[in-house]
Amino acid sequence: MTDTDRDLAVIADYMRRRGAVPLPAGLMAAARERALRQAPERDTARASLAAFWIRGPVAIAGALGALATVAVLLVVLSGLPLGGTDAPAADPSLDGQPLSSPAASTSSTVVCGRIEADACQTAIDLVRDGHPREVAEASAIVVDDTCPPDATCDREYAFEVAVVLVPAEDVLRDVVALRVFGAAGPDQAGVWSGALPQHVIRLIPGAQAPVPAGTPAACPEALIEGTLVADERWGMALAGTDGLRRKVLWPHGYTARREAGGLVLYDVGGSVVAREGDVVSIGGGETGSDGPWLACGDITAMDSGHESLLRGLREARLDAHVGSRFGAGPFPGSGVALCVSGESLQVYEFRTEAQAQAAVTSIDPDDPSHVGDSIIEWVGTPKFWQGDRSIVLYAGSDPDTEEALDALLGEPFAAGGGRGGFPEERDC
Amino acid sequence: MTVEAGEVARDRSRPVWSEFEARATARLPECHRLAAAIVGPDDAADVVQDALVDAWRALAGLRDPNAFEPWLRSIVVNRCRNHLRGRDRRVRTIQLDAAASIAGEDTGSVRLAADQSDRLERAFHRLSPDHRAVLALRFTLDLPVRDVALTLGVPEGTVKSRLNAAITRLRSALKEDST
Repeated sequence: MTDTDRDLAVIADYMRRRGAVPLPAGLMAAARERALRQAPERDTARASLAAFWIRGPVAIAGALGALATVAVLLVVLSGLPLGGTDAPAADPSLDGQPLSSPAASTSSTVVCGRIEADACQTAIDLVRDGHPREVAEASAIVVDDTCPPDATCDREYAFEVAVVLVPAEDVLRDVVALRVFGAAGPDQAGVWSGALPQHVIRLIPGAQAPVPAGTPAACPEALIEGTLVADERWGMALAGTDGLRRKVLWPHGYTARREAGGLVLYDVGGSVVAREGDVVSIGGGETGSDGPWLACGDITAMDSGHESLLRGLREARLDAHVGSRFGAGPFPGSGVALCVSGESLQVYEFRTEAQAQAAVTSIDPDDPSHVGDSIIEWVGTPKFWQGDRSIVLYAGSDPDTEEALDALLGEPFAAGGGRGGFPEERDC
Repeated sequence: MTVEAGEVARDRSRPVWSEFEARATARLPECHRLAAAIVGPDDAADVVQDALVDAWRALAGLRDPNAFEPWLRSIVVNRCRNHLRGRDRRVRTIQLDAAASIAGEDTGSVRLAADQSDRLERAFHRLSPDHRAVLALRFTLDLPVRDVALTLGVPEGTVKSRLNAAITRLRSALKEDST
């Protein structure tokens, strides 16, 4: 048996021992109690992202018990136009016209969105069973598929709609929202948890494009990538890698101006942030299920470092995506972690090539533990590559990744000096 | 709807708990071993319970009832991932143990003493959730690479790549242990 075989046997045995744990009693019973206590709900993780703009979800016990619990969403609906852009064009789906059928009450405006009239009627009837008063008093009822237009959703039920009861004319708050779902058509009504999708809210007669209510207490740490595009509704929007166009809630004071080459995004100080067609990454987070992107973090234009590298790694057929940002110490820039084939790769980005070069020269090429006047004990066996305005650090072990980095950036300018082992990479 | 007898999702509009329970119970030991291997014994039961609730809620969306087993395993793995990422969320992924001025500093003092007897365990805990999952599916459940790929929804090549990376890391820990 070779050393390799022996090591593999030890590792396999270790993994078997990790799983050799007695199965606790009552596990299925506990799951059963939880599962049957409530109706299927939307993904709670997505719902939690929507908390920015739900001021106060209030649960009202319905006559049908848990299945018919209603979430009352206090929604503030207002616009946040991007300065310098045209006013949003009218959404053709915002018809708001009363429909003769399906009927709700004699005075209700019913908007069925993309739902067939029969199914729309059935959905409303299901809601009415549990909430006759709310349906009767609704000034408007909006029904639409929970999946955004032009999107494909992998969801629990083939039929899933949001039913929104607007209690009074021109009062776009205290909206009652439910979810009606079923395998082939409307079958059950249940709680709506989380924020209403943007496309549903836009169907509410008189609704403006919604934005988060107030400033969130903390900026989410997520990143989104995409191409800046002109959009007649939102001024400047982000076209994601999945092809979907997304509204962006830009930082306060940001403006977009139409210039010869297209739209140009300016920050509050009048400096150019990015231009139409630029690939950017935007820090922040989603403001609800399929909602606009709250741009409260860094907005980084393409080729500052990690974006072009990411693109190159993907072209090399590696599984690569953006991880998270980190403090770039000991260097003066900022850092972005990329996850490449499950391993972390650090990209230190600098504002100028001069700054990047200064950082490069501060690293001892033969022993990168010496950085300027400091000694740093890197975890792993680090290798450093130099980009135009970035330094790439990889301490992993995947030869394909190293080969791709060599192809993209040339040979590493420094290597070795780590204390061995492997870096933490729980974000990948 | 034309359905085959014995399928869990026989009537997609109304999943039946007893049928789900019967089939899930048969996979419960496997699910628990999988979760224990990935997240550890203390949290395995909670993760599996969450996964069962997730599975029940999503049952009607299971397009191919014959795919129940890898589908349930994938839900367990996702729950494990969420658990690990929620518990260990870190912004930084490369650890800078220490940075000190050359003057007056002994470089050895900033080196963390490794626990020789615990290197394998420590190395495993440094693995990413994806690497943990692929090891657990391959070695704890003894699944072939094809089934691991099916569970994770990734190509077999990706499974092999992740396995190789994860094993390399653990092997490195073993070598350190033996020196």
